[in-house]
Amino acid sequence: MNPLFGRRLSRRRFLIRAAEVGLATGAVGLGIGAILERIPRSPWDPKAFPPPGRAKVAVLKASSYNGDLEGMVLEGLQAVGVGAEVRGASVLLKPNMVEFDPSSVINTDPRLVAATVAAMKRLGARAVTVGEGPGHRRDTQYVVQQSGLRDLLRDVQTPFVDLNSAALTRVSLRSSWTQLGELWLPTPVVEADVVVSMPKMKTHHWGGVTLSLKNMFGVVPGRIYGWPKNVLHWAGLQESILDVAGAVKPHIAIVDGIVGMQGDGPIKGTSIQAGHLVIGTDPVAVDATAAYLMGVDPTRVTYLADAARFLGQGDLGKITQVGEDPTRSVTDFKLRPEFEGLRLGATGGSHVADPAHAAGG
Amino acid sequence: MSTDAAQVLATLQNGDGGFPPSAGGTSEPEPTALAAIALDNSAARSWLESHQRSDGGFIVGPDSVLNDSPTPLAALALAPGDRRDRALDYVVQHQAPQLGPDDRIPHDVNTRGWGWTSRTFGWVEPSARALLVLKLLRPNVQQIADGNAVMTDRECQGGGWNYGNKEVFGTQYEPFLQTTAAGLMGVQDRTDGIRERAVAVIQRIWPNEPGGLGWAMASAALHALERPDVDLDAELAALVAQTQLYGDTVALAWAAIALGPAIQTIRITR
Repeated sequence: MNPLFGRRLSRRRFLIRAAEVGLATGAVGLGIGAILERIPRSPWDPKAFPPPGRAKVAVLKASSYNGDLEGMVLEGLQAVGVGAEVRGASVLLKPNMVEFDPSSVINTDPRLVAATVAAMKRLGARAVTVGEGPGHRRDTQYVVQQSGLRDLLRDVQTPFVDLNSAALTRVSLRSSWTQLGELWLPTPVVEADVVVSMPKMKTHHWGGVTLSLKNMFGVVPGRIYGWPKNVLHWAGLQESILDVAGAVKPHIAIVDGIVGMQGDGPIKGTSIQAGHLVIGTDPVAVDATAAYLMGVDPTRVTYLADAARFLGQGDLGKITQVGEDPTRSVTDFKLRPEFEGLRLGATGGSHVADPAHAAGG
Repeated sequence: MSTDAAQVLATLQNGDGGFPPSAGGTSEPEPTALAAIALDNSAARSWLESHQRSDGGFIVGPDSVLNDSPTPLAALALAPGDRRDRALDYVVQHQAPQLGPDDRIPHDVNTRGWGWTSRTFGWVEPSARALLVLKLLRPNVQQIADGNAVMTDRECQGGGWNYGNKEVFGTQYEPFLQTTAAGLMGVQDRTDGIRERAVAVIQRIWPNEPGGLGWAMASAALHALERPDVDLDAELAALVAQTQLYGDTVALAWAAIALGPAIQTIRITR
């Protein structure tokens, strides 16, 4: 058993994380004590976010996109107890289609998206929609067309909605990691009974890893927040991930870790055969497990450690993994040098402040 | 079913005179401004007039974010007069802040473009549209030099533009069709090679980027230069007929501008 399983995020560890955030946001010249005084103890509404309980995550071995993906997704969903909440529900699947490059593995594989559509229908979903608001491409229809998603969705008779141009609903934030206060979010996302975050398992050159929480950047509409969604970087990448995911906490997360992206992700990295799907109803638990599978200590990823304080379960010792044994399933993703401190067993901090002209990714 | 971009666009007009970003939505400044230009539509102009802020700008979204990027297009859509002048004043006075150096994303720290949202970085498309409109309507302001400098600084290796950065962590980023088209509109008067490189990029990559918005803006940029690509225009027309560009008002408006008389509106006299 890896020592991470069963270890809690101690208060001291949290304070180190908090200090890293404070330092990275430019609190130069202040002592640690002064910095900590400036950090709200609970930048979230405790009524909206009850303390995270135990979580269950399915880790499924999947070597390619050509097998019975629908059956595998169904198996994973059922293994973590998904069933009643989908029956008769409207379901919105949110894959990662931030941009498209035919020579790369930027996107959640459309075959997995189509398989998930079919699985949701088999579970009795009343309506299934796929939605995305690409952050780097304003021409969404180009991304949908060239990625092959459009043809596959036609096959499963499922509509696609461009979240960059959809109708909007004003949503007051229930957390205050940023100063945004509110977000204008696509109505199809806000009104869906079940939102499913379907990220690609990727490294991220500003955040360390990008998984189901970071994937929710794609619901923030470009026509309000720009291409890329630069407002979120000005507000702080790590902090924005927390506020956006807190506003639209996905009910289900399905990580496409069959083929992932390592190195200079989320756009310019290289592909890596990771061979897993990670499925669960607690997005923090899913991301913590997926990060572990990438050879990354989730408690060292700043936003994941903070998400574990209010949004979901980040303590691997409190996450029951079903399916594959994660400790025997790690594939070490290449990391950018500044993120080497995130590795399992590494020491030292690894927070990287994203520049103000960083892209959404 | 309408098969002509202008006809399809006209069907999307709301009862209040404005246009939504997609079918069935509420009216917003950018699609309304583009539709007003494309269709020479007085009701759309009236909608814009009634939604101009007291500071001259046109905003979409919450005040906390202040997306003022539609303002240049609204200025272009409005009739000559006080309202247009105030919108142009707003564009001149609301550039993006300059940022300090960062080796990870190198850029010329002396350049100053326009952002999607107030007080954030200047990106290619909003900078290019501000540049285009100032060249058309305020050709003597010094901010045009700023805009030209941004387009030069952000140009990708070999020409054209990504959405904003040309290099991150030492990796060169490739030009995209839609952003290159936006950029070309802004530099259509330049003779230093940047325009021709952009034209070459568009001609090279448009067949591989089959999307309504990218094709429509590429067609408009080439028509503005009076150098249309007949194959691109034919493919765009076919896509409109086949898909009605999925009800994307902005894409339909650019297609209507590209293929109709409104192209004169975005053509810089050279």
